[in-house]
Amino acid sequence: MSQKFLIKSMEIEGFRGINEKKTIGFDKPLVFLFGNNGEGKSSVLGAVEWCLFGDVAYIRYMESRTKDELINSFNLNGQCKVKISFNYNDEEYFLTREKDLGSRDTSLILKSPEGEFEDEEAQNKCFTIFNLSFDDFKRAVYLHQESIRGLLIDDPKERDEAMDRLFGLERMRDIIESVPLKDIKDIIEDLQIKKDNIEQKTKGAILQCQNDLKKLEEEAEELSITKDKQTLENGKKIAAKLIVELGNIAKQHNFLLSEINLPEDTKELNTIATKIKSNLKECRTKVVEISEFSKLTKRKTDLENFSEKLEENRKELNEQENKLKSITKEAGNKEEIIEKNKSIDTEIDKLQNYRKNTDAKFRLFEDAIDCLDTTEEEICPVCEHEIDREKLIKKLKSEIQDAQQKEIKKIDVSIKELKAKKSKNEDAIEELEKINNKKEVLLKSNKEVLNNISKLLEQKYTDEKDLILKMENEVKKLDDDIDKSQKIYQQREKEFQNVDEEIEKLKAIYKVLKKKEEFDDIKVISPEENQEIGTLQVGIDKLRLFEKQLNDIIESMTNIQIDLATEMIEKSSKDIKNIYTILCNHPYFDNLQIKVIPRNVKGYVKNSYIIKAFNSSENKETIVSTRFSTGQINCVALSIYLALSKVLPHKLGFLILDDPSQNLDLNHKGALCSIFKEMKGDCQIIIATQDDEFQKMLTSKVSTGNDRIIYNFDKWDKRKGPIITES
Amino acid sequence: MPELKELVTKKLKDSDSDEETITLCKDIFTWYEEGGRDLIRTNINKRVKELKSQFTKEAKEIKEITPKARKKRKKGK
Repeated sequence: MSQKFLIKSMEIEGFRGINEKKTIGFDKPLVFLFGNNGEGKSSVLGAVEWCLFGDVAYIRYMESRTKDELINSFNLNGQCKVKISFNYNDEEYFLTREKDLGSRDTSLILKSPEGEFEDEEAQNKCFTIFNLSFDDFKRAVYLHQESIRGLLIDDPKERDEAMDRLFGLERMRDIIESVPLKDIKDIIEDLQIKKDNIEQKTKGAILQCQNDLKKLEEEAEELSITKDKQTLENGKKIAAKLIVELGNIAKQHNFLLSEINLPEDTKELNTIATKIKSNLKECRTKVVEISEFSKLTKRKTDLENFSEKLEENRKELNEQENKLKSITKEAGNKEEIIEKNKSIDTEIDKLQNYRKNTDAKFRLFEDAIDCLDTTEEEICPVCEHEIDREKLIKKLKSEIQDAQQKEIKKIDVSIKELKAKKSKNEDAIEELEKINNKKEVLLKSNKEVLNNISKLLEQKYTDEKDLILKMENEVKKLDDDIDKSQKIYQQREKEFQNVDEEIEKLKAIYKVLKKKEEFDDIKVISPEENQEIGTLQVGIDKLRLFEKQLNDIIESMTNIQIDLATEMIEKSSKDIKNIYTILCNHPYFDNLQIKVIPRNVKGYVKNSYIIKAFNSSENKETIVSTRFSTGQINCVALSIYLALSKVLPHKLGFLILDDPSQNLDLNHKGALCSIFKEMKGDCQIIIATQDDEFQKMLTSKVSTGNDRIIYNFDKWDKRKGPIITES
Repeated sequence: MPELKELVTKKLKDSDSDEETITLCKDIFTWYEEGGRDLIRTNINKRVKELKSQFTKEAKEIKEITPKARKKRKKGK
């Protein structure tokens, strides 16, 4: 026992759940920490870990970078301190670690028979004398609750993490997972897409430019400029010729020309073409303005227009005259129609009077019948015959009524017919007035046109026909004159057109040359885009190199993980089997096999564990996580951990187990106790548990009585920490 | 941790990794010790950003130097 370091006692102050200073003696082979969850047991065990290595596994430091979560929130000094006294070869070693709030560093003092060491020197000395690292400590000395918990979960990722924890390799996994390889991959992909897009765009532009150039070359060929003549030199020649020709035209027509220089480059070809075109346009306008041809043409056009107008008026007048004749023929002239209407009015008056008289006549008949109706005589007053008075009155009334209606209707029809006749006559009068007005306007227009003709011919007129004849003669004369001047005009126009054509040629050459320049620029990829593509490529290459470096590092880490895990499994496989057989006591699967393989998870290559249980005699196997109960899986975890603790050669003579009995049934707990009983001679065993059943078994089956210290964590006070009693 | 760092570094050296990769590996371990996985992530992202900003700056400079192409006038405007 004395060949290894044993914990003799420890003082804890301000650490995690423990605020007030607590001194706990460990001077026995078995140290049991009993109490309910959350009452400070794990804080005591964590204090051992922190004092030795300056860190506690499984604490996620979320609040601060300075790991202030280690210090009790109610500690007035804002400090935590843990002091452990070790016994090694009957000599005492003291290790004290302190940390202040807000400070990332901790101070460490090691007092040993060799002397006193501080901080880094002390940490290095610890590493030498204990002969174990922090990872080894988790692997072989301190079995955390979390190491087992992960194994019980179905998720392979979490199981692998738990196995890593058992093998003390979880920090490597943590580092690998924290490298944001996927983000880098995404960035590279984005840049690659950007680069591809630019390249694609440039290729498209080249194709477009090529097509445009072909089209322009064809257009130039249509203007009789063969491909070999589509050059700057030829453009210069055409420009020089044009300047001379324009000069001649200007001279010929006394036109003042602005100075035009010969072109030097492609761009100037276009400038000169534009200048020549604008000068030519001006010159043409001026020439047209002063030409005899245009004067004669204008005079002829004016006379023709007048003649057309006269003809138009003549036709219109004829039309109106015909209309007039037709109306007069049908209804007479205006005066006759008015006379007719007067006699119609008299006729209507007569009929209306007759209608009134008829009405009165029939009212008399009606009155007579009414009078007859009032008498009671049954004898006719005329023929003195006996009569049926009532029947007679009814008959008379009906006959009178019919006669009246017929008479009135006849009169009304006659009146209506007369009125219609009158209305028709009125329409005819209106139409006659309209025709007369129109005729008046046309005659006025005729007069105006004739005046204009007279003015244009510079001849006064008395006779319209004579004037028209003169005009026709003038037009004939103009035709001859125009013919003569037209030849001169056409000659000049041809000259202008020739210049125009040459300008078009010049422009076509300019367009081809310009497109060629553009094409030459794009063909080699525009320097701007080429540089951008280049820069993007450099960026992509740099990022790819960085990604490769990270991948290499991750690959090396994974390989190391696999190597270390494999090595440990090989070394401890015998012990794993032995402990598993005792602890699990599985009725069929009597052995365990653990394999480590690399597995690609979302782009990361990680080590992965396959834990198989098999039956040696029947050579059958199964994957533990699929067939084993949680209790049995816990047995597997404990088997690995306890086996590793035996294999690793280090100088710490104690084992720490935090809640090892989770999910175990009575038999498994008993088996675990028997293993502890066997081990207690080899090392100091420190166990924390809340399990009453297990507590009883530990005190009765593992301990003999005086080989143990039991600390009961009865209550936890937020300001003081746990209240610990020894039993 | 120091022994793991050494093991990984040795593995990288054995596989003929360049000095830059080895330095990066050491840095990653240091970052982890100083600030856990968050610091690793922060520092790697920072390095990526630096690399990115280097060439985006270059690209920007190129664009500034190169004159912009003149816009073509549309007919009738």
